[in-house]
Amino acid sequence: MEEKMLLELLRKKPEKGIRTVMEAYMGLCYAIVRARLAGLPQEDIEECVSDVFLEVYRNRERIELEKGGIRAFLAIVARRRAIDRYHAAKKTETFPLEGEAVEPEKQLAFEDRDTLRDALRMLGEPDGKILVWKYYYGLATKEIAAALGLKENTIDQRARRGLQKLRTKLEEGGFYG
Amino acid sequence: MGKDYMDFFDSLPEEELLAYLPKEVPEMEDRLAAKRIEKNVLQSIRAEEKRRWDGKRVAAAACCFLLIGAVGHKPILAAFQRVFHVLPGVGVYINDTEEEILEVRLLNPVQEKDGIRAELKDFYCKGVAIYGLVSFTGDGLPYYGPESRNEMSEVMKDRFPMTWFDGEKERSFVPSSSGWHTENGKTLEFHNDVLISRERGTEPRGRYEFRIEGFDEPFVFEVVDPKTMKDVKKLGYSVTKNDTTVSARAFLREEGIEVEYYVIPSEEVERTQEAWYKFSTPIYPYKLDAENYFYIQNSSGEKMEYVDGGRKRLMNGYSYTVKGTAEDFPLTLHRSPFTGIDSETHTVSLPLPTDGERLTENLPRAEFRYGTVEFLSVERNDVVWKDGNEYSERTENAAKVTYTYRITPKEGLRQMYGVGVETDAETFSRSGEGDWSEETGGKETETFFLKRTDAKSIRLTLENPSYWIVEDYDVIIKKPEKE
Repeated sequence: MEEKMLLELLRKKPEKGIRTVMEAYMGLCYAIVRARLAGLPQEDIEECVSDVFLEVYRNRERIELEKGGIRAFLAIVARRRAIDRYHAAKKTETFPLEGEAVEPEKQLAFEDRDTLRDALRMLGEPDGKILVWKYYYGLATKEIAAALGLKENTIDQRARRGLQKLRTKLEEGGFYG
Repeated sequence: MGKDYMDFFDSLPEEELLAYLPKEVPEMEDRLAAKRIEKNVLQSIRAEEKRRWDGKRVAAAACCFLLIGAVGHKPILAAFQRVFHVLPGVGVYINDTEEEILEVRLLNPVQEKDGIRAELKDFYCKGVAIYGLVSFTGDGLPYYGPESRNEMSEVMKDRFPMTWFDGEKERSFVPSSSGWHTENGKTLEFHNDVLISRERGTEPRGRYEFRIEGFDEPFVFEVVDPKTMKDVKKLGYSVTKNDTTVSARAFLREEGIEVEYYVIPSEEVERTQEAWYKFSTPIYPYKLDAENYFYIQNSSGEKMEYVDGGRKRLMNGYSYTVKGTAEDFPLTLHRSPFTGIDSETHTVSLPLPTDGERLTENLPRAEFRYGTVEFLSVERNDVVWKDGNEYSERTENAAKVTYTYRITPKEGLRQMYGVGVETDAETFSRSGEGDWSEETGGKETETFFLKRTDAKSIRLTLENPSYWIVEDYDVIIKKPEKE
């Protein structure tokens, strides 16, 4: 269903609309949240995804097609809610957060958004796209490979190199000092 | 970077993120989770609407739903968790995590009622969570195909509601979607990465009761300090080479022979696995021949066939059930070499041809400890580069530089098959395809779209060389004395 029709349905018949929205975008929302909350219990992830759809429902009159519609709204809110939940969990957790856990007291100087944007653009394409799809939108390697027409090994290699290059650039900029 | 890159993506401006919004959205594979989410969203919406209807202030609280008992982690971190820590029923071998690992002593792991056998397996405690497996065997269990396992676990939840009691209060337990059944439908298992999640900060040691409705008695288990095992030979039959141990043991089963397989990695191998996990550094099967990478063969030297559904992950290992009988012993479990990644780095100067020119001579080479990287060709075409981002109109004058290099492994225990290539030159994008064959070794062709330049060369950094530690592991497994 097109975004315009979906938004109209959500506004005119909210319950049916939110069901349709969930059917269309559950995978996207779940992937984004799971990518950020990897290591937290499953129920945290599901609660967070639920929160995101509730926000879509509550903000149905404010969502603008010109700004990307429901899909764009959902993609941004999903990450924001996941970040909130992640930091809330970190404040109290003794629960195992493995692999990708960020050191609790670490403060990152990420205010300079232009620099961040430039660092990503510096990677060029398709590396920038691969990194954002993989680490922000939570797409699986095979999904990225299919979308870009590349081999899965190539995607993984590009992602690794992209991350290393980002690290170098950001270290040079003092971001990890 | 491994710890911080999530923060980087957290901080990207929204317009940048939206510019990369994928056209195709991923499928929601966990249908049970989707149902739970939908149910909770709709419940919350209805509750909100009712409050609104009642003329009361609509609470801005987030969705508040109760899902008592932890359902399983998805296997997203599974590889990392497989670092060797716990062998259920055997002990803790290594604990290099910050989480305390405790032993779960199952006092009565099996109960039977009305022809159904219920068993708790592979329990252990890490931090405040208890992990394990619940298995049902018998006639009359619901049967579904593998594709509908979510439904199966839901039905099982209705059929055998489970609760646990920690001495203070009873809590319900929600089986995860990661259940499966054997081919004959007589066994159903739920393997939750997290079975029981206690409140954070509480003491996990103690006595627990785990009840499954329909069975007369509770299952009782204790969380206690672990016994630590230091002798890997106690695992079964083991082969250790270069500080990596491959261990296996076998059991005669009704459906064939079950072989349990564990790897205790050396620091070198473990570091590589971590690099794969954190940075997606590719780890390729030895010589890329998946067919011969891992197999089990019988006493006649024939590769044994897996029974359907006969391959499953164990905590810190795998279980393979193959078609066979006692006559097939001794078995040989074959595992091909593991991968390592070295820190050695070389910088080379790659000449830049003129527009339309291709060079094949006087190109650089780099001698690594475990192999040689040799550039075979480089060509250049000046083009207008266009940003692949569909929302971007950006174009740039670029030099499209394509080069091919070959990696020839050196003789020795460690043989190089891959390397990362970086450049200091300003690039707009890059791509590459690699190949490996016995005849040519590793061969990779990469393309950089550089900012157009008059420079005669660019500097390339060759880093993170990957290599195979070329020793096979053949573990001879004798016939088990019992079973």
